[in-house]
Amino acid sequence: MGPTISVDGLELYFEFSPAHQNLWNLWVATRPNQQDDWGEPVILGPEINSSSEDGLPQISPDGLELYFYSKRPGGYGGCDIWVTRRSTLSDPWGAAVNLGPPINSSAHEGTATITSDGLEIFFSRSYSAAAGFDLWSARRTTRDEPWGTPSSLGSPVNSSASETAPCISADGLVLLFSSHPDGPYPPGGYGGTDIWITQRRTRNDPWGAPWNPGPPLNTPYWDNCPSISVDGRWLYFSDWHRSSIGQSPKPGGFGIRDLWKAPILPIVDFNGDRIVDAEDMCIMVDHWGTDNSLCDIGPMPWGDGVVDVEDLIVLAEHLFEELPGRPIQP
Amino acid sequence: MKRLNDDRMRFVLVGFVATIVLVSGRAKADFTFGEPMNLVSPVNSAHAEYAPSLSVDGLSLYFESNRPGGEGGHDIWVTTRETKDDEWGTPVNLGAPVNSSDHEAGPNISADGLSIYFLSTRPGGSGVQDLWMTTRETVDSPWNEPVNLGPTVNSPFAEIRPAISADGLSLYFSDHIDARPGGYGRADLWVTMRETVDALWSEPVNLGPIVNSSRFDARPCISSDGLMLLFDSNRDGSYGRLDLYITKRASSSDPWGTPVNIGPPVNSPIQEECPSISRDGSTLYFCSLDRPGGYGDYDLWQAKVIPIVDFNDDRIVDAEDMCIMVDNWGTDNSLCDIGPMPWGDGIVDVQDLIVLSEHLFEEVP
Repeated sequence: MGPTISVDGLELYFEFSPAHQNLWNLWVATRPNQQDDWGEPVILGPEINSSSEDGLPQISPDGLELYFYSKRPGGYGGCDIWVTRRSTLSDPWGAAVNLGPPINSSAHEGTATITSDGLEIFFSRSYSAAAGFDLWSARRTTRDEPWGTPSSLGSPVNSSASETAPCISADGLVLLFSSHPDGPYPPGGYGGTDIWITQRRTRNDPWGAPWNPGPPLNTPYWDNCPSISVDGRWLYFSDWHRSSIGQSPKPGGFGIRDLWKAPILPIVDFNGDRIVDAEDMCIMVDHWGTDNSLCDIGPMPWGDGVVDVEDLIVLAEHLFEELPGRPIQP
Repeated sequence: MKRLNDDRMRFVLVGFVATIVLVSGRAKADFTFGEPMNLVSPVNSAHAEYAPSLSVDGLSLYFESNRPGGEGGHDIWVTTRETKDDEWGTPVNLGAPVNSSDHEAGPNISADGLSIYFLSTRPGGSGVQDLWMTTRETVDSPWNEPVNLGPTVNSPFAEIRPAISADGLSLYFSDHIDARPGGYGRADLWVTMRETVDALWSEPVNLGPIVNSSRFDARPCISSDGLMLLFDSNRDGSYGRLDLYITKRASSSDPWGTPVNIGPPVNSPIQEECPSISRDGSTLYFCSLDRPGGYGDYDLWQAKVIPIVDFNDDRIVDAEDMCIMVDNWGTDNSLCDIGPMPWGDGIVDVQDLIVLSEHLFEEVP
C-alpha cells in the first residue's frame, strides 16, 4: 500500500505486510532506468523499520527525505510521523527520527508530505476513532526553521467524513487524499475508499471544495493512498478489496492489496475536434498571458496560473495526436 | 516556331534567376543582426581592444589589448560582470605567467572555462608566432605556465587567433600573411582535431576552397553547437577593408557551406574583425577599427543575433506564424527552424516554438 516514487523515477517506496499478518514495514523496489521493469522489492533496514507498524511513506520532491508514520515507542503519543534523510539520491538513508512537536502530538498523526520548496507540510491527524482523521498543515519560512503551529485545513477540505493519506504536488497547488478505510466516507464516492482532489490557485489561496475524479481512477474497490510524481504526470495509488464482504480482487490486480499507477493527462484538444493541431495552438495564443484555465496545461497538467511557453511546450508534445471518436474527414 | 522557342527560353531563364534570389535571400533571412553597440569604458579605451572571447556563463570576457598596465606588448585581459544584466567591470590583466614582455593575443576561452588558447610571439615556439595554451585546475585557480601547442599545429609561419570547439576536439585557427603551404589565399582558415581531450592534435587541415578565398580569411570562431563558423575576410563583395562572414553546416559531419557576408548594420565601410558568439547564440561580439562612436583604435562591439520569426512577413508575430510552423512541424524547413540557436538545428520542433513564443505579439517595424 501507499506507493511513492522518487524524483528520478527509479525508486518506489511502499508499505507491505505478508498476507493476513499485521507486520507493516517499508519496502522499496528499484529499476536501473525509467524504461526498465521494477526489480524484486527489498525491505528497508532496521535504521528505518521497527518491530511496530511502519507505513504510508511519502518521499520529498528532492528525494532526500522519506516521511512515514510509525507506532514504535519513543513518540509523543498514538501514531507519530517519522522521517529518514540522506545527503544525495545515491546515499543510504540515515536513522529515522521522530519529527517531534508541533507536528506530532498526543493524537494520532498519519504520514506527512511536503512541497518542493520544503516550506509547507501536510499531514493527517485524528483525536479519536469517532472523530476520524482530518488534514492539517504547517509552514516555515526557511528549510532550517522549525515548523510553525499546525492548523486544520478546515472546511471544505475536512468534513465529518475521515480524510487521510494526503499527498501534495511538488508545486503545492494540488492536494490529493483518500477517505479513511474505517470511514465515515464522504458522499459522492464510488464505493469503498476513494481518492479525492482539492486545488488552489496560488500557494496563498484557500483550498477549493474536494472533487472526486471518478472512474476509471475511483472504483467500487478501496482506492486509496495517492502519491503524485514530482513532474505531475503520474498518480501512484493502492487498492484493496474486502473478501469479508464477498468482494473479489479488483480486475487486473494480483492480490489483496496492490499498487497501481495512472497517467495524469492534460486536456489539449481545446476545441474538442478530436485532433490536437494548429487550431488548438491558435486558441492558446488567443489566451496568451491570461489565466485561462482551459489553456493552462503546463508545466503540471493543472497549469501554473498563466498561459505561457510552459503550456505551449505541453501542447507541442501532443501535436497531431488524434483522440478517439474523431469523425472521418470527407 | 523559333519565336516560340525564344519565349520559352526567356521564361526558363527568368524562372532560374528568381529561384537563385529566393534561395540566397532565404539563407540570409533566417536571422539578422541588431545595431552594434560599443562595449564602452572601462572595457574600451583609446588603445586597442581586440579579439573578444566570452565565457560559457557570459560573465567573463577575455580580450587582447595594448593598454597600459600590462606585461609588455599586447596582453590578454579579462573583464567580468556579476550578471548578464550588469555592466562590465574594469578589465584586469591576466599577468604572468600568461602574459609576458612579448605579445599575447587572440585569446579563446574553452567551454569549461579551464583553458585559454591564444597566440604569442614569446620564445620557445616553432615560428614567428605560435598557438599556446594555458590551463587552470578550477575557475578560481590561477592560470598555469602556458604550453606551446607543438610543431604539428604550429608551423614556421604565423598562426593567429585560435577557436576551440565546445567539445574541445576541434581547434580552428588561421595563418597569416606568410601563408603556410597548402592554402588558397594570403590567409586561410584551418582546423586541427583530436580524438579525445587528452589526445594529441592532428596535422591541421585547410578548410578548402569553398570556405577560403584567394584573399584574406582569418580569425574564426565556432558556435557552441558546432554548426556555424564566423570569421573575417576581405574577399570580393565586402563592405569595407575587412567584413564578418558566416558559413554553416547541417551537422558536424557535413561540409561547410559557402560563406555569406553578414552585411550591415554589423559590417561597415570601415573594418570588422574577430567575431565571437555567445554560447546561446544570442549575442555577437567583434572588434572594429576607428568605428564612429568608439574610443579610438580598435574597440569591442556587440550586436544582437535576432531570429526572423515573422514568417508570413505581415509585421506582427502571431498565431498565423505559429500555424506556419505547425505546417512545417518535423521538417527541416529553414524558415521555421529558429531554435535553439537563431540558425536552428535542422528540425522544426518544440525548440523553435519556444523561440517563437518569446517573440509573440511583437510588432516588426
